[in-house]
Amino acid sequence: MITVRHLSKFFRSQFYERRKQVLFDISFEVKARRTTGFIGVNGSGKTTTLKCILGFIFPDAGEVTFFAGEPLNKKIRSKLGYLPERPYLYEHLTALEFLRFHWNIAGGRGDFQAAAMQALGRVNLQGIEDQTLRQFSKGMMQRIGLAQALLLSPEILILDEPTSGLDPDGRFMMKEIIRQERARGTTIFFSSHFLNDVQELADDLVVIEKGKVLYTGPTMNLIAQNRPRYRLGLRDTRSGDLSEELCEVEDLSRRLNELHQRGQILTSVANEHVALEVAFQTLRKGQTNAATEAMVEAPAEAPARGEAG
Amino acid sequence: MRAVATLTFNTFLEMVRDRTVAILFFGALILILLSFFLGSLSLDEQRRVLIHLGFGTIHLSCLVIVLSKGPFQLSREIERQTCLMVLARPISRTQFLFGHLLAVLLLIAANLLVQGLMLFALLGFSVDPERYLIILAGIFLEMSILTTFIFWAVQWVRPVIAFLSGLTLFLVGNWLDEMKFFAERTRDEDFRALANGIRWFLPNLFLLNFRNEDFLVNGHALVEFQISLTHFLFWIGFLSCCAALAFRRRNLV
Repeated sequence: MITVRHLSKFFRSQFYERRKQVLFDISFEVKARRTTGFIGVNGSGKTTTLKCILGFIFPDAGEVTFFAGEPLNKKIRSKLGYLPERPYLYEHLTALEFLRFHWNIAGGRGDFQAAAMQALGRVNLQGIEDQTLRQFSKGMMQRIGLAQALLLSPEILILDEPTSGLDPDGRFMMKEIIRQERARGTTIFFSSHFLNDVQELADDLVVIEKGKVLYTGPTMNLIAQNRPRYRLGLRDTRSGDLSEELCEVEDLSRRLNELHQRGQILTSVANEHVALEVAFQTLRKGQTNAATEAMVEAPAEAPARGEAG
Repeated sequence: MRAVATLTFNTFLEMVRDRTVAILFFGALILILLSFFLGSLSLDEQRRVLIHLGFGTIHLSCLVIVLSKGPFQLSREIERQTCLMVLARPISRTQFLFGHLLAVLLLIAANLLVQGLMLFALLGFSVDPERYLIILAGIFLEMSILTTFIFWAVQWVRPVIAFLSGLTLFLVGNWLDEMKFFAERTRDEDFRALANGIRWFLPNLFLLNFRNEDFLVNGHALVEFQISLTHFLFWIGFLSCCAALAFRRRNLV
């Protein structure tokens, strides 16, 4: 559905400064009718990638295509719904005027009123259609932003940090809407910092770190790469204090012996499913270790090069 | 067309609902009223004072609108990223830019219409309407050049610099005729070359300045207007194309 191939982007903050590369040969695919999560730490290049996909930023190399290899054009845009990170909206417009504005520029046809009311209902904003957006809280802004993204029943939904700034109710609502849209067959691509939400919602994952793709594939495959662990409940025989420890499967028998020697009693054993959070950290750690190893090896090679020269 | 009209209307609505525009608008109306009373203090010059101060106020209020709205209209959209949701829709960047440009021009036109009508009423509906309209059209065209210039400048520099550039163009553009006058009389070859160079590279904003009693009473309305109109339309077209081309390739970071 969305194919990103060898995307690279350089930025220069001032004209006299050197260009800094922020995206390094990024390639991944967002499959049709699936929900794809896009994760990475702050500054890893998530928003830049999303902006390249939507044509707000022009890549220095690579290409983004939609459907069967079409570049972004008006026809594709008319099938798109987009919610930016922290949406700032036209504050003097009312909620209904704002939706009508998007309906008109997107070339919406049919019953606007019904579509707007349905969209507002889905994001729990009924009854405030005549309020100006400047009176809206941050969470309400996020909701009305989502309402505009859903207004024309898009085929592709691109959401940049959709749950940021939302209260628990709002996050629940957002997740429900993503689930409903997935059930409707919408292709969803969303970035998020909330890895529990991503694990819950995303069929596929794209993990990005320092402008490079670390992982792309099914969410469950990434989680399965990590070994399962046990959570051990312990009680100290002398003081009676309770504590918990995590233990990997192959260490279990050794740890049980150690506990006996330390004077601790096992009170419970629970199978701990590896969360995406752990899988993500492990993936990042693996990348960092590889980079460190490369740096350690580099000085040893340097004199040899010098000698050769 | 529907997308551009929607964008223009929406941006216009946003600007009109902004309190600063309302303050500016009513401030200018009060100034025009004041010029009527100031004129009555003078002996036999009431009409002349009213014409000069009235048109001066209209001209100034339009300039303030251009300088306060022009540089910040697009850059605010980009800075606050309100443009992203709009540009994700099936509209081109050129349509987006022209939507905003037309909104600023619409605001100037509305300002001219209301204040122009008020001044016309204060003049007792006794001036030639054709010449009166030409004076207002001159102000509108001058402001259109400034707006398109600022929309182009803001693609390259910060809004404050674009604001200063717009102000500079306004001052220099209105001074070109005087500069020509001095250049013809000076012995300094460098100044003469500089003055001639500037006249080629900058629009002469003084060409459509008919804001005086003499033109209102004796001016050869259409002939004088038509000569200057070509010059102004060229600059408006050229600058708006430059702005659109620059905006099409701009990274909206």
